[in-house]
Amino acid sequence: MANERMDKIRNFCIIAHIDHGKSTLADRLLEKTGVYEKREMVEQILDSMELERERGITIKSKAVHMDYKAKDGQAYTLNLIDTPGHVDFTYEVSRALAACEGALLVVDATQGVEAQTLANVYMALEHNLEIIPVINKIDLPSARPDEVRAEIEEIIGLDASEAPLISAKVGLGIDDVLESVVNMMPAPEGDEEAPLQALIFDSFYDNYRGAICFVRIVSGSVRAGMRIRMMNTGACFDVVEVGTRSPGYVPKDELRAGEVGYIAASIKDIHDTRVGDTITDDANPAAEMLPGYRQVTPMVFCGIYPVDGADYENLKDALEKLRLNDASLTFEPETSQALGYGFRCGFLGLLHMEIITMRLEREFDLDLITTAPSVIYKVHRTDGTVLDVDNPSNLPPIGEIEYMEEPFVKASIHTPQEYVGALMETCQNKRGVFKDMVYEGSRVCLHYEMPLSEIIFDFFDQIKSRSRGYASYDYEFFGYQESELVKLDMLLNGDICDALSMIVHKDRAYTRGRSIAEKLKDVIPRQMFEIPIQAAIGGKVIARETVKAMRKDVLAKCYGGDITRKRKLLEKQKEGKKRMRQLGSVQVPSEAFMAVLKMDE
Amino acid sequence: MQVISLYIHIPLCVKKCAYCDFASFAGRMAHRDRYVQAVCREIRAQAAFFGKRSLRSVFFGGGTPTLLTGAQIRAIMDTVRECFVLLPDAEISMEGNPGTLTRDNLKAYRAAGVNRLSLGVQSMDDGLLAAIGRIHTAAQAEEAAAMAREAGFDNLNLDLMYGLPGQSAAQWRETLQKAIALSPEHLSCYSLILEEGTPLYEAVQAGMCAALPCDNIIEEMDGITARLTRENGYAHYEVSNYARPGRTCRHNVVYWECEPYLGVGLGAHSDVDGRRFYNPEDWEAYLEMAESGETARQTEGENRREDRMFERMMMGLRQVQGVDMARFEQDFSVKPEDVWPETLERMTNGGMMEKRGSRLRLTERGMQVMNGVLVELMDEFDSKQQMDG
Repeated sequence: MANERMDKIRNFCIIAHIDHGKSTLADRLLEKTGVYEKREMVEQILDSMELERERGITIKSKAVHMDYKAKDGQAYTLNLIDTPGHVDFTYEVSRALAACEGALLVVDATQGVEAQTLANVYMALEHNLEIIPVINKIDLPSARPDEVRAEIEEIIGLDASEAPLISAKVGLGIDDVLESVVNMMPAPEGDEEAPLQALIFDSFYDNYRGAICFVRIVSGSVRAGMRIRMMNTGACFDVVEVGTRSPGYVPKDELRAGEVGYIAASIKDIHDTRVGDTITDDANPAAEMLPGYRQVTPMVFCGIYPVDGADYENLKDALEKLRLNDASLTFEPETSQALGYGFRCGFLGLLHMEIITMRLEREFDLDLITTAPSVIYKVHRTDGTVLDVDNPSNLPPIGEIEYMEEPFVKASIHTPQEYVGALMETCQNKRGVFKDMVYEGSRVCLHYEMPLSEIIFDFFDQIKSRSRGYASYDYEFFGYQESELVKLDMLLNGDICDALSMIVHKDRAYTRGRSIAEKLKDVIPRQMFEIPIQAAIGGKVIARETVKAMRKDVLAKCYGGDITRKRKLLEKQKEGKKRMRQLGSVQVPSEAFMAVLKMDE
Repeated sequence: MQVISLYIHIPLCVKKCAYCDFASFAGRMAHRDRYVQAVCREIRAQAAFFGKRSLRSVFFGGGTPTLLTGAQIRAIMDTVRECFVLLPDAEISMEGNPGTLTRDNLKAYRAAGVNRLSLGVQSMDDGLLAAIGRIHTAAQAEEAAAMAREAGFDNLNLDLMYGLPGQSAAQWRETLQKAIALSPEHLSCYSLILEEGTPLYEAVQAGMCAALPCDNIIEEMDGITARLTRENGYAHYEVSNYARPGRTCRHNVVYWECEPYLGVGLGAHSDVDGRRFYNPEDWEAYLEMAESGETARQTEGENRREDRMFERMMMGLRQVQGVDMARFEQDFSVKPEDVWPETLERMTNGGMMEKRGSRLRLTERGMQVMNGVLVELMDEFDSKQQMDG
């Protein structure tokens, strides 16, 4: 039941393969609609986090409100919802898409349709979005818009005859894009008079206002003073302010069905603003919540320790600050014999883990040691109880284990045909079970069931390197399955180093043990004594390397009576040693713990 | 009053060697007299402060002490005799550059009372000598040794260096053989230390000279040193020092045993009556201080008992005979084993250290990695203090 107000609203997102120009186009749209003056613009405003700009990926979803006077003389409200672009954040993306009616599909006029283009299109189609193809970078000499247009029609099956030809970089064709949004995308629908249903598609923590929800009002309306209820968590809050971002806060009297905006309600804990949850009116609640809600749980765990033990409290503060703004980050204190006091942290995936550790190091200036990532293993004990283990050190003795299960995912890999062979081999190596292969024009989608633990190692890197960057993948968790798992220990000078232990499949233990031993041999410097490095499974040594003893480390000169000089040299040497971890009599540099993160078997 | 040793620094050189980072200057010959006067003045001032001590040794170091005339050395020695009591068997050493020696000045030094000469030979390879910026040839070194004997020096040391850029093990063997052929009473064989800021350091970093020998070659050179010195009757008694029986350098042993010493001259360090101090390294600043009759009382930082204990180990372990544990206990009222229980046990079990009578010493292997052992000692100290604090 469209009405005149909603007729003037368009909610849309931009989807693209990496580097096809998504963020640049977003910037141009904002500039064109006057959200930013050109001179104020920092390149790619939507990716405002330093890390996001640096890596060219979007981590958090955002919504920006634009006012646009179309060629038909009418004033329109355009809401651009930016979405994260990585498999770790698939769920967040799906909620952002659920808040839209349409999507701009940006395709690079020189590269054509790429794997990620397809993956994104499928996701948009799942949410019944009207997809408008846009052909970008037509200013480049190697642009081939006609061929790309044909590709879009052939491979994706979208009518691309009216696709705007643009160059976001030089600002060409931006008006055409805005007109297409207005003319071709459907307006939102929704019953303004019905009880409130607002979909949270993102939230973030504002130091002054508490947790703020980005919402799409599906039905009803919300205004300051209303008592709202989170339908999944049941928590209630009093709305302080509603409005839109443009990009600063622009308060409004109310947000009505079809609109996109923010709700501030003095929410102290971001965990009360779960992405996908439905906000309703506590006094007049909706009968049901919106579909698609999933509680986001961390899938990947690792230990994070300060290099300098004195930084423990700083690390704790930093994690707490990050968690304020990141509901999917979990952490709890843990202790390692090798690394001292630190935290076991949970993440959505490997990228998420990498982003968090990088932010800790950069924004909080911490030196960290990260242990090898782990998943949660379900350990069925002989006494019938089941134990969740996310830290290999907590694995019970073998005698107490009946059997173990590990999480499996359904992985979909989109790739041009020529890399199918190589990628199948990779999946096979990763213990993947082949399920299906679907042809999509000249491309193929491979479906595998794989252990999550294999994906979190270096799957992303391998997929990219074996397809020259053309393949992409996503995965979803589907359940636990029994696996023949063993605990692999690394011994330094005969002592188990708990921070290097890991749980691996029986068949992989030997190769992995050997390759870690080799890496450790390379990163541990020579010391006074020879250091044996061993890999062992249940007390049985499967690989051995040796760091040879240092040959000579003595000052020839005596510097006469100048004792301080000699002392200073020793102090310097001592400082160097301090930067390493002392494990028994062995000094281990921080890199050793990183060395096991990236495996190239 | 403690018997002490006296060090006299002569910071003059014809030319700075490429590897040298000691306090010395080229082109100051015109100021020799003034410098000698200043040193004599400082000796008097120190004696006035510390009293007329007995001296067990005197050491003219540099720089190049042999750039002073016989008369200048005599003037300094006269001042020393006037202010202190030279023990009858006092060792009076002097460092000398073969390129600066003549029959006459050698005789004059000897006549002034110098009874031990230490020649900076460094290498018997003219190519290598030139490469490291020495001002003399191998032939001049041999000649200098012969002249020293003629002048009556019966206690001769040759300073040698190995691990020089581009040096082969064979070249080192030849240098050592030629040096031994001169039959010195004492040999110092220093493995080159590249000191930051020296021209040689810059050259090596920039690849402008031959590369330094790799670990394998150094190891081979160490082997050659050990074998040739042993075969020729030189006992290894300190990391880099070898001596015929009864010919160890008594002045240097004072440092290694942490006995008291007074240092005069530019940049010289002192450790007398439990106080540590050092002179300015700046030429003008030193002269100004000495000429005004003042003495340096600038102390070398905090001088705690803990530091003293560690330094006793740091210096003592350089000697093959190691540290005198009885003296340690006497001076500090605690046994080394009680100060460093963990490290000493680990090092002993690991074959790095051993007890020999009342001495605690490094084994041959321990001596090779002495810095590592010392850092362990420092660490145990630190963790103890953290626990106490």
